[in-house]
Amino acid sequence: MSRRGCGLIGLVVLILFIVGMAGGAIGRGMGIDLLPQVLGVPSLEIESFFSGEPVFLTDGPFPITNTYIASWVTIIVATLFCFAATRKMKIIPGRLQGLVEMAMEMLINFIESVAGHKNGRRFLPMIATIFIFVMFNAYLALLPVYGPGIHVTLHDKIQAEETGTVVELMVHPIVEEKDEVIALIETADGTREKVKAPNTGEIEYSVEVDGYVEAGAPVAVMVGTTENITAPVSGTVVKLELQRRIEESEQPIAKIDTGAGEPVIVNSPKDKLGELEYDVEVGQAVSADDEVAVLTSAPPFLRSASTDINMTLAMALLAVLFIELMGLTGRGFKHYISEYINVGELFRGLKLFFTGKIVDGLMASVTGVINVIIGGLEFISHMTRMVSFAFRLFGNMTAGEILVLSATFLIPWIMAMPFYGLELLIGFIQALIFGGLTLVFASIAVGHGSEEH
Amino acid sequence: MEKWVYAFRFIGIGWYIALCIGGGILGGIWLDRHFETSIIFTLAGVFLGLVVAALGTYRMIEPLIKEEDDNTPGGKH
Repeated sequence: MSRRGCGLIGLVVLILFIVGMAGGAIGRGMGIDLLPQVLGVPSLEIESFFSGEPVFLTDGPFPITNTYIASWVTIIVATLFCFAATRKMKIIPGRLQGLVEMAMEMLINFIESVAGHKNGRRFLPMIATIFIFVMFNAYLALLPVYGPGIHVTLHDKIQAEETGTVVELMVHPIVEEKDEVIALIETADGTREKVKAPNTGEIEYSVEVDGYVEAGAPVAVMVGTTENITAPVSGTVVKLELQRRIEESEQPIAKIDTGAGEPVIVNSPKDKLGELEYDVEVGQAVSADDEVAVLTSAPPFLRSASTDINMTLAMALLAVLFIELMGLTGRGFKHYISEYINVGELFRGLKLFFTGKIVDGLMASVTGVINVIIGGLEFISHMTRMVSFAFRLFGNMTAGEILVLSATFLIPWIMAMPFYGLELLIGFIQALIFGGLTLVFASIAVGHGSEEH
Repeated sequence: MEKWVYAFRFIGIGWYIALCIGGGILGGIWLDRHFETSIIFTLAGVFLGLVVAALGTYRMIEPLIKEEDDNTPGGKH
């Protein structure tokens, strides 16, 4: 590239940096308000740190979380990538095929250098799968379609617009005809309202009462009878205005949590762009300007799979299971189990002790007890691997996502770029560590290079 | 086997030590609550955790120490 081109790019970067610096959180802290707020400053709160959030089948027994979807995306992308690379194989490989071949060769060499030729070939499928999966997870998560690996949200407090309460009433009679007057509602201030049947069947009707009513309090009279209609629940409905601009239809735009019951996810209406009003029921009567709900952003559709502790724990379980299975098949059951429960020496010592050779027996017994303790140590160290596997990957990936998020927040555009580079490196290193550790532990478990020789 | 492969195992050593000591403490607290004896089991748990952590750590680095003593480069001995 010519010197002029480099200079031009440098100038653009410099301008972006200055604008980003002034317009981002740092600039706002210094009192410059240049850019519209991309991420709200006042109070970003963490919605979900350790795991992804359900985005599909949220009420079902098996909610589909965004991290779960992301892991499927990873599998599909990795499969398609390999399919594209090996679809038209040539002796002299093209670019994509060459890349995949080179990567595979490096992987094979790495694995065989640790585990030897025979074991290396046995370990290859598992180790390569772990490596590729972790790396694709990390790299795909950097794409803009993925939400941040930690769901932070601006907690907007919503206030009631006006004093007053609306109580939902159930009017129970089965009505026979449309437009039949079925109830007469008289509120405390004396106004009367006729309720007409909108349809045949049961109907519900909302009425505004003057003040707060308890459940069971009479609020209306049935027409033609003296039967009182009572409020079914103590409660109120408050009209809220959500002042969010909506750009697309049918998108989840907000989650409303009033503290009374499950949070509600609000979709933007099908046929309308612009601002949206939403009614929400609160548990008690409120006066104007009381806080009635908290508005948070809905969870992103995709979130890096490795930022879910369940995901990394599952992988850690699989890796540890693989290691133990390799140890079991590689060494034989008796040999393998004697590493944990090593009582042979103890029994030999006890036998010697009781057959009269007291000194020899004691010595052997002491060694036997030490062996048992060492077996316990071995067991503990094997089990802690699971935790360290799970938390290492989770911690690194989540920390990276938070790093990129905060960099974007502090100085938009420019600051995130070096951290994206760092994330590429970290993704590779974490894949190498997860795969490499599984490999090393497995090769130790099968006895190659174990301490005993 | 190459030396760095042994070194690879130490990546998880922090977790091992932390879990040993933490597990000892938690177990001790639980026992103290159960038998309503204050602090004794907790102290014993801390001690046990420390001992287990130290012994386990020693066992993990044992091959490297032996190698240093033998002065045989290359890892096989």
